[in-house]
Amino acid sequence: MSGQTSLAGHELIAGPYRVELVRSAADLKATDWNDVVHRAAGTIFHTWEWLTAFEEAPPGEFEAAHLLAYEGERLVGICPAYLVRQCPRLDYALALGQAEDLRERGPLLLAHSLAGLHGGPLALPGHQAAAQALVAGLEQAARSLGAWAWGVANVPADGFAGRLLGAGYAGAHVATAYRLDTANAAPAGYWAAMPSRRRSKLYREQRLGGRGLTIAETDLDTDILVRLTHELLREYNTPTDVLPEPFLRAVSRHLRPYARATVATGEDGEIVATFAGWEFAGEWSMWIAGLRTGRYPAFEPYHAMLAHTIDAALTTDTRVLNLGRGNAAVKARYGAVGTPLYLALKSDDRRDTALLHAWCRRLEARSHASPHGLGASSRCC
Amino acid sequence: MPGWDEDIDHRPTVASVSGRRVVDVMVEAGVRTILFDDPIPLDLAFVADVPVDLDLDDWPAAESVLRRLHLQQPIDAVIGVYDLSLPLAAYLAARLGVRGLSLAAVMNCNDKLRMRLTLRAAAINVPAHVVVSESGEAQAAARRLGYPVLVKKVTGAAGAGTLLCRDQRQVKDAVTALHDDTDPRLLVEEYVDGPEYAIQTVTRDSVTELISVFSQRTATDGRLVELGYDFPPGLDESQESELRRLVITALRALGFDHGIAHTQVRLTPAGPVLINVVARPPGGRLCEVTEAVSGVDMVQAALDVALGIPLSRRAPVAEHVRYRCVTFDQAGTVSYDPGALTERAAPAPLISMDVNTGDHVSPKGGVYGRIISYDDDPLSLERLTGALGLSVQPHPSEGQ
Repeated sequence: MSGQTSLAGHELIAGPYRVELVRSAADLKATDWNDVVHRAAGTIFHTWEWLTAFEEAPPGEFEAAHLLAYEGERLVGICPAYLVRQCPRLDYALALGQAEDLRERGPLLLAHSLAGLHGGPLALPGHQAAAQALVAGLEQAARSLGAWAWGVANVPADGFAGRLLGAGYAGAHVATAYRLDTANAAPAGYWAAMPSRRRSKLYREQRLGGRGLTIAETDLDTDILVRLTHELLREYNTPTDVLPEPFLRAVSRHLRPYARATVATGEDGEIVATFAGWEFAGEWSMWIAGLRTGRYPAFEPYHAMLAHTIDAALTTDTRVLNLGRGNAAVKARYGAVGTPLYLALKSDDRRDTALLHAWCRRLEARSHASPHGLGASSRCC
Repeated sequence: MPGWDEDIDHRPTVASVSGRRVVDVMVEAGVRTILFDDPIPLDLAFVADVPVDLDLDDWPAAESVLRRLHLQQPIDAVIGVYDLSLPLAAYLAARLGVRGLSLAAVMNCNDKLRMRLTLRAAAINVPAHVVVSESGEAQAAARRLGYPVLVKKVTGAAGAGTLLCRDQRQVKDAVTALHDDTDPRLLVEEYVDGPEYAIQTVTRDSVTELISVFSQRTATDGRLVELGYDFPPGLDESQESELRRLVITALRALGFDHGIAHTQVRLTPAGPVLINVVARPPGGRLCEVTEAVSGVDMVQAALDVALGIPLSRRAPVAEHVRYRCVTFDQAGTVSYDPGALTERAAPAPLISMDVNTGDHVSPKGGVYGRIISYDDDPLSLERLTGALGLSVQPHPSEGQ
């Protein structure tokens, strides 16, 4: 690989793992990278294609700073990361946490983006120490690249998040992703296992909301993706710069091999609602929704689309259906379980880390006080 | 003395974020005392050297004030001994670069989800749990975990945000009862059965010392209220050693560097399960009984740790503690003999009530008083209880 900066030898990187820094997805070997993502239970948001789209049309000012952990010559861990100079979602999180002045301190090194549903390092089974080496590498890279702080965005509430919090990282529970285990059930069993009153109510909502619509899993035209996504964002007074058109187009193009979308089409043939997502390594991530909001102000098609998506996941090899953030009550009724996602940040200086704690504390308080869980949920997809 | 300026106050300076007892201890220890509170109680305003009234939620303002004071005369440490004041105290210590408990440790203790994540990452058993935000999710989580379950606030509980639920209806009611707009997250958690222990510790420069271990009695009839504590705790050597190792590992995992803690652990057939850690002295009269059996005053210990000086120790005055909380299993009007109340220092027995004869009490009201015997004779506790002559006249409308 070219364009790599070796960070080996720095005192924070301990153990047998060598960590290298790569400044562009173009300098990564896609198959090796994706193989680690696949085997380390990563998701579409870690894939080489996602990173390539992100670099091609970034929703802000980002410089790639991806980290790779090697045991000998074998790639055993990866950590996508960006030196973030400007990011609408991060700006919003700073504003929510009344910490706008932190923006003036310069760039943050973030692994990797608030846009995805999953962030943080991944390591092959049996190489968990490589994840720690990657965090040490992240810290070293932050110093080398002039970032005043570093951290992980949307890291799920698991052992790795716990290790970061125990290591002094400031943390904010900024969102919850709702995931449905679809590995061990067929549609009949899934619906039968649901309490009968709830099932009846959901059937009714699906029937009423889906009236006159054809729901199907199909290819999603990029123009429609952009139009309906932006229409929904505008309905919630969310600036479309969180998902700018070039970014949506780049994502749509690069991730096409993994695309799985559910769409609702009206009797006139017009696509009126979309769930756009991708499946990678058995996890189908429904990332972004779009809607003709003028026609369906109460999200009427969504119940039928959700049911169709679940049935589709249950009848294919999908292991997990990730229904994304927000609308906890609806997703929980379908049996999805919330996984808290954390933003975890740290600085070299105790005084600066205290500022990060204060920011995260206010951000979390403001997020949970909002009717959608995270006040920024619409801005964070 | 060369270089000695008579006009300068040479006492060490410590800022405390609220706290009545801690101010008394600081003044007694000859510490120059800065007190932040909202508002400062009038009596403390005359005791603290620098009383400062301010909004304790406005961290930048508090920092600005403390920074000015720090410039006038250097501050050695910032401490807090209440759940709600600990984050600000740790923040101010970090921002000024002076001694104080790690802010990360405080934040990890103030949020039960974060605490469980951190402990689990350190291979410490914690109750299985699911974070939820509404009743449907909570009921589904309870079904997955199996009844009974606990429903508890993730933050802001201040010791009173947990309900035991045995069925779906109770889970729904618990979600309604505990709902808080400022943080709607709740934990639905497996109920861990087994003997419980309360462990008091002091951590200095990341080295933790166990100060006292009490066996704890907790009601299991849905009230989830503490019923009492006993010392010695009845642990054999290997159990005590296991508990010690667990608590030390847990505090290290949470990021404790300088501070005191009160930890609750349950022993189960599958091993010890850590229930909770708070970075402050224990509540009720546990500080007094800890001092009686260990010679260490936990508030004084917090100050000693903050100042970086050796731990003050007196000789223990008791080898046994039987501590019973006064709780009620029916609502009504309480009556007792006020002449039986006694508040003498340990090892004299203590009978203390927080309500007066004629006041209303209920099972949901928690602890209304404490009876403590330092005698090895179990009958002494019965005698003290008998002397108090507690009774409750049920209200006709309230029944049980």
